[in-house]
Amino acid sequence: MLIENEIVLAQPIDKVWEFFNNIPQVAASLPGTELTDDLGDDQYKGRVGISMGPIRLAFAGDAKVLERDHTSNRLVISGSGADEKGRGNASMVLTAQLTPAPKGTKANMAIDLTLSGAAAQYGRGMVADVTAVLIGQFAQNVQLRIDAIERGEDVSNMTAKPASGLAIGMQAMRMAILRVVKRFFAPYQPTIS
Amino acid sequence: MTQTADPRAGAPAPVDEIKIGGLGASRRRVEDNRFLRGKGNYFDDIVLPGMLHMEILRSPMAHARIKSIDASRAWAIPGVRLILTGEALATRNLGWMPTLSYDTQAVLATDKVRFQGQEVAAVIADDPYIAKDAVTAIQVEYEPLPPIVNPEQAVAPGAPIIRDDKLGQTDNVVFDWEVGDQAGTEAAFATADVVSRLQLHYPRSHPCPLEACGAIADYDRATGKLTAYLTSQAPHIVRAAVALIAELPEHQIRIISPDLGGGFGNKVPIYPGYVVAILASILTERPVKWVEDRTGNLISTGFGRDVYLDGQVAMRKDGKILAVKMNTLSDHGAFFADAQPSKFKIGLMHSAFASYDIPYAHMASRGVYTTKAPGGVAYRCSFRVTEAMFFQERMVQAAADDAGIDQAEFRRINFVKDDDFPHRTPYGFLTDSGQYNKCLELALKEIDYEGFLKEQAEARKQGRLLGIGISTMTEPLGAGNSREYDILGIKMFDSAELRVHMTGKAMLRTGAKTQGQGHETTWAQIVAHELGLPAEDIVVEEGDTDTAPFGMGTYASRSTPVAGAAIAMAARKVKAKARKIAAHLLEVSEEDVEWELGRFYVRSQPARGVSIQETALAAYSNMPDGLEPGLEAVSYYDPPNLTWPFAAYVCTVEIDPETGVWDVLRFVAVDDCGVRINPLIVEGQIQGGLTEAYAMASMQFITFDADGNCIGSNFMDYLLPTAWETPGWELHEVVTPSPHHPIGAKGVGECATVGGPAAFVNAVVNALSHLGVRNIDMPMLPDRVYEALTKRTDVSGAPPVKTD
Repeated sequence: MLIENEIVLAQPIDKVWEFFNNIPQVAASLPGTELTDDLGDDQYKGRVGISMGPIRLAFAGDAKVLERDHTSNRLVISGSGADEKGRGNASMVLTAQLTPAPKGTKANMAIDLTLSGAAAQYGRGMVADVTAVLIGQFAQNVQLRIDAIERGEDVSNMTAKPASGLAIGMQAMRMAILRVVKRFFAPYQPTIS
Repeated sequence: MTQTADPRAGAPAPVDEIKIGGLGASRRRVEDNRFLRGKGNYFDDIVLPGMLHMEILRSPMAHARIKSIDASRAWAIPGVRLILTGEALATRNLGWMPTLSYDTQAVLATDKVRFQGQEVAAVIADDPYIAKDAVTAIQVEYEPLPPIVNPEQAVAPGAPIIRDDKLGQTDNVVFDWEVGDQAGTEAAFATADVVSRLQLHYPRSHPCPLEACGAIADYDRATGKLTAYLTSQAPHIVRAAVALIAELPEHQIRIISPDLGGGFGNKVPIYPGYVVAILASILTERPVKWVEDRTGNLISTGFGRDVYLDGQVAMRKDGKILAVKMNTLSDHGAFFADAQPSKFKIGLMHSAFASYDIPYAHMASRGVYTTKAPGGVAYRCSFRVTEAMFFQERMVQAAADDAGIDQAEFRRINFVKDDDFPHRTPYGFLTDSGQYNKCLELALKEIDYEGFLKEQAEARKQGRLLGIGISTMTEPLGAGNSREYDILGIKMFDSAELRVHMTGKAMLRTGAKTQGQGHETTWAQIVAHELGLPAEDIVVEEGDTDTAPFGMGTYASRSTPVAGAAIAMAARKVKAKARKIAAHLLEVSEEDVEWELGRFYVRSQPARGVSIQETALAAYSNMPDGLEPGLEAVSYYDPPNLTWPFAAYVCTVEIDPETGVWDVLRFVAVDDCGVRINPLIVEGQIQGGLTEAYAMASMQFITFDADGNCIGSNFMDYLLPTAWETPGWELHEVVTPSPHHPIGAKGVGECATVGGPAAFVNAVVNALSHLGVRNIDMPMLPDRVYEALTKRTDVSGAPPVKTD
């Protein structure tokens, strides 16, 4: 499943790249994510906690930077993990592409996600919305952190709030409802796959 | 004017068969009394002293190697009594078990997991909550392997071997099987004017009984006896299998199948959960209860269908079918665990075209392994007859369209004629009886076929999409005669034991097992018909292997054709003995005793007689010299042939061109299931069957994404129709008694599920035929119909499921 999202950050591209290049900074901005171990050689161990409606999943696994190219401002990270309660496995390849934008930097993030188990069974249809919400929160967190770094503040105590099931659920639901409303009231372009 | 004396003077009024609840009485279901009061006795209602609870850990992956299983955290949870893994079972030679189709199936996975939801470990604990928590504390490390979700992937070069546990298995093919006359078929195709071809997929569906599976195993170390309450449609087969798998002596095994909340074929196989619960009870010496949850039921237990068809019909210009070719490719999941007669690898798929007079036919069937759940069961059908009839009717409709002949007329041309019975079908079955044309004509008249065609043409001018679909079916029900039908070598007969007590009340036990079909009601009616005992005086018991005579259980609509026949035969044995007692009571020789319902009398002296109840009393209190006391009989019935009911279903639909949503306008069903024992129950069965047919046609399927995840693991994705969306059914009947069944009855429980789906699909395709659409795979979801009508193409529904 390919999920694409785009966020715009107010900083110039070099600043943003510097930030993205620092994996612990990126992880600290991702809701519900913590790095537990730096294995060196661009490999990390970590945990991701996420609530989707009635299901709370806690993935523990590894992440590895596959590609880090400052000339094209591209970063590719792969990660895989298993739910600590055995209810599913997840693996993903995240490609972040930075491009200059009129008011800063545009970060295009493509996540190729493979889910198995309960997450895949129950979360189908919700996953894209939930990820979009998470990325929205991620963008806010990144902005906050970059601003704080800019101001020279210490960001080591600044952690991303864990992904709250209710908040994500509400926002995902809002997106789903909006989509339906749009279908009825916005000019309809059929998308036939 | 002379007046002859009334020959019946002095005799009691004849017994009114309908009043005593005999044949043809629409008797209310006696079992509903307890069900409606919430007093049913399902296995989960049973609580045994000291009972432990079991929960199963299932694989989240479709295909993966197990690198390690660490249960230490689970063992640390207070209240956990036992944790079983594949390794623990393997040391007791229980890692694998035989399936009903001579394959093997993992009980708990040892080497690899081969489908999502496969059983990996089990926790037995003091209460179900602890067991559920402990299951999540078991850590399993998986190494993912590529999933395979359709046969094409399975046979592609370089596909991973799913069954690498089997010596000599070098690919993913389960079987190649063929039937029919290939040379004759090819020759007929060479002379054909028109050849019609159709390719489609019958999606995987799930019987989805409202009660999921489960068991309570209770092993008593002191007596060595194992008592197991299980959700089984065939308790005697389970007893035999447990004796073979668990190596327990058969006389020390008691399988009790209590009230079942539906089965539909799902409760025929032996599931790993049963085996693990039994082993857990032996090891803990405590009763162990396992209750499957809904997701467990949907993702791991016996599914239905999942067959791909490439079908061809060769015709003359005038519409006469010369020959039929069917190539099927079936997806059996990770283990070949189909529940079906041993001889037939793809079930009774070759019952296709049984109602059409066709000289030649050939079928080549290939089955493959995939990383999906195992256990192709007969979901409300007689071993893949649903696919057979669906393929047949879809092919017939396409052939009629290709020949440019009206679909009703095309069937009239090719039907087997009423005087052509018994009829040998092109694949070798012998059909027993039927009035095919009469059924079809009645259905067409009721729906006003000609009128609808005019309406359809008018509507098309206004851009409205109306369609009419016909589906006719006959199916082999009541497997079956011992020459051809066996499961694991056990011949498919059935049995009944009738005991008439002193006061004329009776107890009847059979080897069948009701799951909601109403055996307790209809079986008593058969006895009432044979003996004249009021049906309410007969209690029916089934499902306990310690008391019921050996039988093959209830599935494939075999209860009335086989067990029902055994009941009639047992009752006739009782009547024969009662006749001797009557002769003794009437002080005449047996030859002078005549029978009318419920009463013996002396020939030519109708007033001198004894009732069946009086003979029952005498059997225990005043028997003639030399005659054994008591009045009971056992009958084991080996049917000479299967029974062949027939049905004609006609459906009209309207499609909304803006959304692809289709609505059923009318649905007319004409069923000929021979003599109807209880018309009320027969109609209930037909209505239920049509509802399941509608579900499959419109909303229901188990599919998979490209990663092997099961889509349909819960009621959000696997839809059951409620009364809200189910259309109304218009039912009609024709009666052609079965010539070989003791009371002329035929099976009926499944006809509507078998014949129904094609009527809906034919109707929707008919509505779109002017756009060149020949096929939309079930379920005909609005997006599929919309795609067909906007792109003017066929729509395939084969997995992996499309993602947006």
